[in-house]
Amino acid sequence: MNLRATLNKWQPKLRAYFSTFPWKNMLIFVFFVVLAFIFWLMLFFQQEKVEGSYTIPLKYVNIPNDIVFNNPLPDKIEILLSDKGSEIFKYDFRKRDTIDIDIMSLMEDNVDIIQGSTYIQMIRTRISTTSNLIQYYPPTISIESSKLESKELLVVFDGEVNTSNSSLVADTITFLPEKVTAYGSGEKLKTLDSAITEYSVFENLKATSQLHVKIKPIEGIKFVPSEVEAFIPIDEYTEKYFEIPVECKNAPKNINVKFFPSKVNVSFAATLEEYKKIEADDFKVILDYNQLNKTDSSSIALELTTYPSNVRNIRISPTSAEFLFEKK
Amino acid sequence: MIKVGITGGIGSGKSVVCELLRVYGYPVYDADDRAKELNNTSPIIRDKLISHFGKDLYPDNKLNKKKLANIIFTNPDNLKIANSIIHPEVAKDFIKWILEREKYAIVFMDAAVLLEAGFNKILDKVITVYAPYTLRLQRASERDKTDIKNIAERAKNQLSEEERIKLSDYVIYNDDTQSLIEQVATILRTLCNE
Repeated sequence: MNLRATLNKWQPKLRAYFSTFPWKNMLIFVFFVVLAFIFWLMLFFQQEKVEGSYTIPLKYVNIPNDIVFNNPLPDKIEILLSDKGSEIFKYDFRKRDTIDIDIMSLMEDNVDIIQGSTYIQMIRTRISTTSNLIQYYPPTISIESSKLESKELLVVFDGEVNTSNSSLVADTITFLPEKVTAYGSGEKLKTLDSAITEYSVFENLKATSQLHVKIKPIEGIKFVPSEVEAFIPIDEYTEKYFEIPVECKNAPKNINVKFFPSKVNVSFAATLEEYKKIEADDFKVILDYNQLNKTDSSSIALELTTYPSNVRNIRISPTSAEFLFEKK
Repeated sequence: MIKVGITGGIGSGKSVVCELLRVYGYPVYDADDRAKELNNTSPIIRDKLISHFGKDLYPDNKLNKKKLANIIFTNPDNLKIANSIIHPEVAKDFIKWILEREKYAIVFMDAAVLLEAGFNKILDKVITVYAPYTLRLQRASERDKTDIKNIAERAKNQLSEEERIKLSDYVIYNDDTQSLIEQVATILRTLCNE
């Protein structure tokens, strides 16, 4: 049976039921419920001692870089207070401001533990003057700290940089700042010789990019700054190919060295700017006759002996050749 | 005189083997190069191609290769016709070529389509240069600076390696595991002793 048929079936019954519903009585009932709630609220607001518990977030500011806290710092204070019902009602709807704790100024005043009247005073700044502070937790905040040693470390990239098809990383990745300061115990600092970034993967980079990277955290070591800018130079590259001869040097005058194949294919990537300047003559595969003469095999591995420094991804094919000595 | 054909699939390394044979002092007839030459110079080829595919094929008395490629690679029947015109002329040219080299005990013919063109009928022995399919594709793609897919497409039109080997007297394995020089030297020794 479909929905429409069901509705059609039940519609007359529903209509008959609601036409006989005692709407008037219902409205009177609702009116008195609302009235009772209003009276309850008035009584609540006039009550002198209503208790409520709340939390106040803490924020620590001006923390010197070369210190480490001996105890973990709490991130909130839980308070129990009493006040008039109306005030407590307001607390429930009030946005709670954080308490900023200025570590530097407390250290200047030689304060190690925030407690007693200073602590209460601090809490009081965030509650109404009429409120009675009954309890708070933690009862004290220890800001006791130890002095750390420091060491400047070079930032080293850890991760992957993947460029778009026509682009390549043109140079080494540099950082801003290039060094960060590591704070920690002398012993621990001795084991560090660089600040390594968190493993980061940058995909499909098409142009030179400046990206945020975090320094990989190490327990007991604080890095300042903990984040650096990575500058990744990207250039547009294009593939180029040449066929170059396999040559031999130091061969005696009466010997001709023949290679099979006699030519190799060189493929490489160059920036668009360099593309036109690079010529086949810039690449050489030269083998030494003395080396060929020494080997027992008739095959020798090939590698480029000369190539321009500004090209990337150089490949030669084939990577080996056979050779014969021919008497002239 | 022993007439030996060298054949092999695309990227198999026929030309390296032929290079080696030339170093050993044997004459090698390059059928592909000669066919290109004959397409322009042979009046028989020219007249027959024109009668089948039209006068436009030879503007300024020179074969328009692009046009011919378009005609034969888009229609297999046209390819058969063109081959039936060109291959017999290449065979005749080879016979003429060997007559000028009578002093040699062995002569070679390098042709990619040696078996497909039926050149084996005028040869005494056939050598196939073999390399695994993927290696051939890679070599040819690097040599011709083209996509492996294009090479694979071209390889499709060639005889399979199995068929080629079946129709050959010798096989040279150019798969970077065996020395080409040694294999060629062995075959030459065998041919000289025949």
